[in-house]
Amino acid sequence: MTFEQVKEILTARCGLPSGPVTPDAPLASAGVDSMALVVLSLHLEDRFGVDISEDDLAAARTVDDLAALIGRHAECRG
Amino acid sequence: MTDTPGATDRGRTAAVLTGLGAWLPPRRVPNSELCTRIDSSDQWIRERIGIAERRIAEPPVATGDMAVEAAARALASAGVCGADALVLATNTPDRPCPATAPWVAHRLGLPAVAAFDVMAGCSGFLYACTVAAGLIAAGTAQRVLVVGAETMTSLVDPADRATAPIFGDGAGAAVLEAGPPHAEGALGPVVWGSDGSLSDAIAVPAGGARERHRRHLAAPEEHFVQMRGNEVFRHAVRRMSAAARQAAAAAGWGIGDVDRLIAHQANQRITATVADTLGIPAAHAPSNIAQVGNTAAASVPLLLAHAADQGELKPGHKVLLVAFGSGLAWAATTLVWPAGLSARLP
Repeated sequence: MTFEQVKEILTARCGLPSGPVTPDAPLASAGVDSMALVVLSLHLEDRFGVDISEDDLAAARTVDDLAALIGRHAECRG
Repeated sequence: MTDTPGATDRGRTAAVLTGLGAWLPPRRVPNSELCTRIDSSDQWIRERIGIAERRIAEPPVATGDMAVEAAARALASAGVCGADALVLATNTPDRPCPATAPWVAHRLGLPAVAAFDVMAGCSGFLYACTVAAGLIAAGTAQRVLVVGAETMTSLVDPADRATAPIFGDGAGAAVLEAGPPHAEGALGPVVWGSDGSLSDAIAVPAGGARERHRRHLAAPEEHFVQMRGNEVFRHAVRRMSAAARQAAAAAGWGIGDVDRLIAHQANQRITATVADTLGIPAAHAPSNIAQVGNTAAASVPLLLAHAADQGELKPGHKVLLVAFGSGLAWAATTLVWPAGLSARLP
């Protein structure tokens, strides 16, 4: 999954302002809190069939890490 | 019967909404005041939960008093002075025993009327409406007063930053009367359910029969509500979205037909995510959580009253109602907003 795809979900689905969502931003600085991770997790399950919990997502350090983490889970599934 | 799992068909006599009342205690607590006791900020609470202030009932005012105020207004809204039964949805009865509803009926001047409490978390009001609709369908009652009232501050640890900002006190009430199922205001098919495997997700650990042997050992915080926030968020979105979708389908509506979504005001981000998941525009999901917080079983009737009062619910609107809370328990139903219904507020 690309950074742009994750950013699209975080802003359009999780309601985060787009400005702080940059590739290198740590999750907290990007506005990604635990509720945003739950919404992200639900969305990944619904739209991409990727089952990854908010706790697992929280292990990512930056938004780029988040995209890579999701990508790895998606590949495992594929 | 419909094919929808959990859906109930109440037969040929429906419960029709004819009156709506609300009452809020006058004392407002803005986030700034709350944050003198907890490590939080006005901005954090607004962004995370969507709440700016909540109302709190100051002792000796309790659930029963607020229920009386809301119920009296609902009766006045319906233009009637009595009912055959009173069902009070609450998680915060005035006392562990007896039920609060008989006292509310007494205070309303409804002597000897059947009156009982329903505890179903934040879904309590929709559960109570479902019970009332069953009483009406069975011919046991012609008119039922359904009340949702809460003194949630009695269950909230004022020093707990996870729960103290969320909850508020208040009451809402509805009059349901026997009528034809196609009438405006008639409650549609109900989709409801529960999952007791997650009873610990939102719970007050102490004070009940389960912990009676260590009553004197319970820590103070065990008498307050404890909540696993992320888990509740996930299940709230899943259960409310599914129940709402099924209730709309059982009514013969597509989601695109829904004019307004009335969702339990748990957290603005939950409401937004449920609306987004369903494909309902955010502007079609009225909200009052910023002003009143999460009032648990009082939330749905309070939102109905406020949305009706502000003209957000118009005659003929197809309204989808949904709630979710401790239990876990959830419920959804539908109604077409009736002409001539004027909510009574304080």
